[in-house]
Amino acid sequence: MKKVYTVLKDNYEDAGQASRDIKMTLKMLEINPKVLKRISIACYEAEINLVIHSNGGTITFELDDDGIVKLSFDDTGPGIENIELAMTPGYSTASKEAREFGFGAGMGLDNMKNCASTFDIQSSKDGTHLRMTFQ
Amino acid sequence: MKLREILEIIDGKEVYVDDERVYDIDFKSAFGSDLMSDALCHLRDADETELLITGLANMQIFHTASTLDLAAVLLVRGKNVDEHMIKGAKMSNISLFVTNYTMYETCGRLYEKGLGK
Ligand SMILES: Nc1ncnc2c1ncn2[C@@H]1O[C@H](COP(=O)(O)OP(=O)(O)O)[C@@H](O)[C@H]1O
Ligand SMILES: [Mg+2]
Repeated sequence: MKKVYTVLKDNYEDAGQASRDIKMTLKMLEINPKVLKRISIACYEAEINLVIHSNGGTITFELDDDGIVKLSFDDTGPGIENIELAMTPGYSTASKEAREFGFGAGMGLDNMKNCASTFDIQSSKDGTHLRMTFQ
Repeated sequence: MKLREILEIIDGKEVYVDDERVYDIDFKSAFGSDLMSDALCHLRDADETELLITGLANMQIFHTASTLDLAAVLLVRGKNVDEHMIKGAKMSNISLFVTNYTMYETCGRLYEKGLGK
């Protein structure tokens, strides 16, 4: 199974809807609730990052035959200059607007990494590519 | 602690009830924050017995609550709850309550009476 969602920059209104759809899809497939919770948390945090930090991009959700869930977040920039720094809990460049929106605690990437079975992030000026798997 | 008691302690009002069974839940604890990432981090292992208390009046409180498998959100400082908010609660299957007390007073009152102590 594969689904692709488009996420727009600064679309605060619809932020979280792709993650909700992915959660609903997995819920119907009766996946382990503990794993589902971790997928939902990581997916939601990553979706919010696309909205508040990136120029927009896509979320790709895949479920393979072995029951492994793969989530990919691909945006078109501006990229993360220092990934190690960005991963540090508490580090955030979130705007005032993002903070008023309820995000920008600098805990997102660290939380995602803790929730996922595998976590890989690559970034350049042309975009950030985040891949997580869950099992 | 049951919701009836919680609402009594903070003069809370029901705004939207998604499932009447929310009144049967025995709440064990609560988490108060306006930063949803904070909740998403701290409540990784939470369930419906956790009450999310927040002053943030936007859709993200419902996305957060539903991501965390919570059942109810309590909005502090009598935030004017419009139709849009109710629609959001409905979409996420979250029950919404409101109090006029500030975050500080709301948490203080509930903690004093034993919620999460
Ligand atoms: N998709 C992205 N594009 C550009 N920068 C990003 C992206 N995701 C994360 N970042 C950078 O990494 C930092 C840390 O992200 P995160 O841990 O999610 O915290 P927060 O979103 O609360 O700032 C962000 O403040 C931002 O500078
Ligand atoms: Mg983030």
